[in-house]
Amino acid sequence: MAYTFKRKKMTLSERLYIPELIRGLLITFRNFFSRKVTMQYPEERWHTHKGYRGFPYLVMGDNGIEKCVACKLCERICPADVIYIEIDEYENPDIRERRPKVFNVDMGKCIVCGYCEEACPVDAIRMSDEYELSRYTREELLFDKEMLLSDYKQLTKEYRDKEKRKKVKDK
Amino acid sequence: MSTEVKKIKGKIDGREIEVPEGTTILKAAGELGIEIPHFCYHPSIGIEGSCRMCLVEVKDNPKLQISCAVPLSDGMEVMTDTEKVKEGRKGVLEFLLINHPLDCPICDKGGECPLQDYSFSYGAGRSRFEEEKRKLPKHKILSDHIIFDSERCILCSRCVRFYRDITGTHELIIKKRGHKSEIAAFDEKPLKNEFSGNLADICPVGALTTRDFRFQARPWELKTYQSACAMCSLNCSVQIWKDSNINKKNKEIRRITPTFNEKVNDCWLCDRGRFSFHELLKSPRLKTPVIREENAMRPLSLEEAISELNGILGDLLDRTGRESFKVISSTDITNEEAWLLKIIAETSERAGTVLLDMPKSVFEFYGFLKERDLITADFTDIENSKNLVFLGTDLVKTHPVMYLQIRNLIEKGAKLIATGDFTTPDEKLVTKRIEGQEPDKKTLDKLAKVLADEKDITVFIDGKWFESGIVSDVQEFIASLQKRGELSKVVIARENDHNSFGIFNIASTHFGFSEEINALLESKSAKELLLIGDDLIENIFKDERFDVENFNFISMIKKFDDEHLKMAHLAFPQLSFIEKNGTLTNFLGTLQNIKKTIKVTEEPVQEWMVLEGLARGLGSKQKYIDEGEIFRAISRHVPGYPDDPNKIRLETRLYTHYNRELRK
Repeated sequence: MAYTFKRKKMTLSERLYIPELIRGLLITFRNFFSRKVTMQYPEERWHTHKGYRGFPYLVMGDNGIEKCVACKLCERICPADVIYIEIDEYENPDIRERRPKVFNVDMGKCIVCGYCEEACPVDAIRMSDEYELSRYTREELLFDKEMLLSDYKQLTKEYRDKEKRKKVKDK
Repeated sequence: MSTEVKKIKGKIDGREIEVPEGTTILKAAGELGIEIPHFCYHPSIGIEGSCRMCLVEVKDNPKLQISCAVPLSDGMEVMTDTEKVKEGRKGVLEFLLINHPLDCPICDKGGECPLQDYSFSYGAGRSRFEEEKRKLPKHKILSDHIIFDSERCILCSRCVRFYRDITGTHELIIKKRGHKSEIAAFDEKPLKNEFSGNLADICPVGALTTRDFRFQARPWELKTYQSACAMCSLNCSVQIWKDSNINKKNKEIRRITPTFNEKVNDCWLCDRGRFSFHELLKSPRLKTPVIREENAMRPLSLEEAISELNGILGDLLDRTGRESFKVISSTDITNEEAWLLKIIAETSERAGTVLLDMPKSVFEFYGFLKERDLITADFTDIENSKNLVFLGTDLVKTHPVMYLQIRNLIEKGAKLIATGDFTTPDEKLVTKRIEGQEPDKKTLDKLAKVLADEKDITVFIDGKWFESGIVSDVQEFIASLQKRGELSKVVIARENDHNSFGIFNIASTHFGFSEEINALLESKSAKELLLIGDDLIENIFKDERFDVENFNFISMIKKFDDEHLKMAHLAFPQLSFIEKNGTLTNFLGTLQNIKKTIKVTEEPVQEWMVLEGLARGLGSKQKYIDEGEIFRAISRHVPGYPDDPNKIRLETRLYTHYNRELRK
């Protein structure tokens, strides 16, 4: 059944248009003098809150070996199957019996759910406060063990510098 | 068995059950599908009662009882799920976990560990123990295959009992007393045993693990295939574990473990079968068909290679005549390939085109046994025999797991009577030994005298007895035993037997034998050859009478890329038992499937395709699309074979710790 929507009848001032226009512009003018909320990204950045869930990273242990023991629990629980681990025997079994030979995280597929952090029995994988791991190709988003152990801010900076240099070269 | 076993009735968790007298509560509960957790009990090793995990409540009994050792009695009422039982299990687990390290993330057993599972299902969830755990040697290497972690051990003594009762080698002991007790190799000697791989299977925690699987993968990321091992002709039921991680590019085979099969291997597997796949996959393999062109080998596609084979053979055969073409095959082939060899033999219209690398007398003996209904169907046929008579044989060398089975029968009360050339690492097994090292008629006469009053006899015959020219005497001996009505079965246990029983079942009259291979090498009548199998090719090339120059054309089907390959004009890759589908018949007559689990060749090249192509080239009209179709053709021909390979389903039950899986 067709439904007919009944329009409300407009008042005189509304029909005149100009008073309403002024009323609307007043809001605009008022905002000229209030505090600004827009952030000039990427020159300006906001600080992430405590407990913010950014992309995962690997934790370095005290003795210079990564904390990870390659138990593969994070790989198992990962709902997007982005983690890939190969196990290696550590050369001195009295310090540590095993470590990851390969630890890859495909950041392009990662959904930042934080399950890996929860599953880890040795607190070796944590969620960083990094949210802007943009790269130009998908291959560059495949992070290996070295990259996962490094500082993401530094990593991103290095990447940007490299890209800049490339652009200059191309010109 | 004539003596009737008394049946008794009991109640478990309010459900009535009737079992033979002497059945333990744990087994009876298993039949009802009630799971009772246990560590030290193992159905094939026996009862110890040291872990106290299987506690149950028996009515009118003040204390909890261990169900693995207490037999069900008439009118007994057992409760497995009361508060008291739960409390008992919780306590036992808390004590076991006091000294168990938190190694689960790095432990190879993690994911398939009974202690892990039971702690999850029945444990308290937290420990009240605040003191330090005991420190013991970790990662101690016991042998080439086994590594031991003493801290993880819960002292269930399964491994000690396995070496004491099953293999009889007494290589592991419990050292020291009290809380200092630990498992150790006797005298710190490395384990020298054919069966050490089984320790990793029976260990209910990650204390004993295999070194080849150490830190290779976690069990949950592996896929299993039910197959059979073809390293000896016993064909133990196995599971092949292969990577299934979606992010892993080349998926590898990680391990082979036995599955419980009462008709073949119980739940054991020898080290040869367990670890052989490493060598099979690592050594240089022939991956595509190759043809020799001016001293270099050029790879071909399968169709090209088959048409090349048929083309060359056609030309040569027109010139030299069909008599000069011979197919010489080892017996290491599947039933399907044997069927195609039979078709080749038929289409060439002449017996003696296809020669098998085995003595003719063995084949004739199979016929003799079949006529007299003395052939076994599986292990259960010889399980109840009272006297095991061995003419020669060295079971540890030829069929290692069969040696364990025979030991088990002797433990149960069977007598072992052997001739002088019977070899065993444990002389105590032999009840009576007949003198005489060589197979001859005298030994047989003596044996017949000894066996005069014995009943329920099973005879095992070694391959040597078929080469010695006294086969007719052996037949007479068997016939006289059967006449007395005390002979139950006869088993031929040869070395390198492979699938000869299966070949006999399929085609008993179509083939020539090693005698004819010898004659051929001497007379130099053959000009064109197709050689199948690496061992056979090596033996033939080693033979002094063999000269490559005498042959116009040599083609091969072989696994490895070695020096003999250079002699071939045309060669096809052969696949091992982990790489092809098919069926095998073991030396007791049990039919089993083997599964293709891994791809070695670049394109689908299989032996049966080559043989089928050759058969068609020779004029056969038969066309097959896969191994299953060939098997269906076999089953129409051989009585007793199921009409589909998928129906060959032995009751293989994976023994883990769950009764529900035991029951399946």
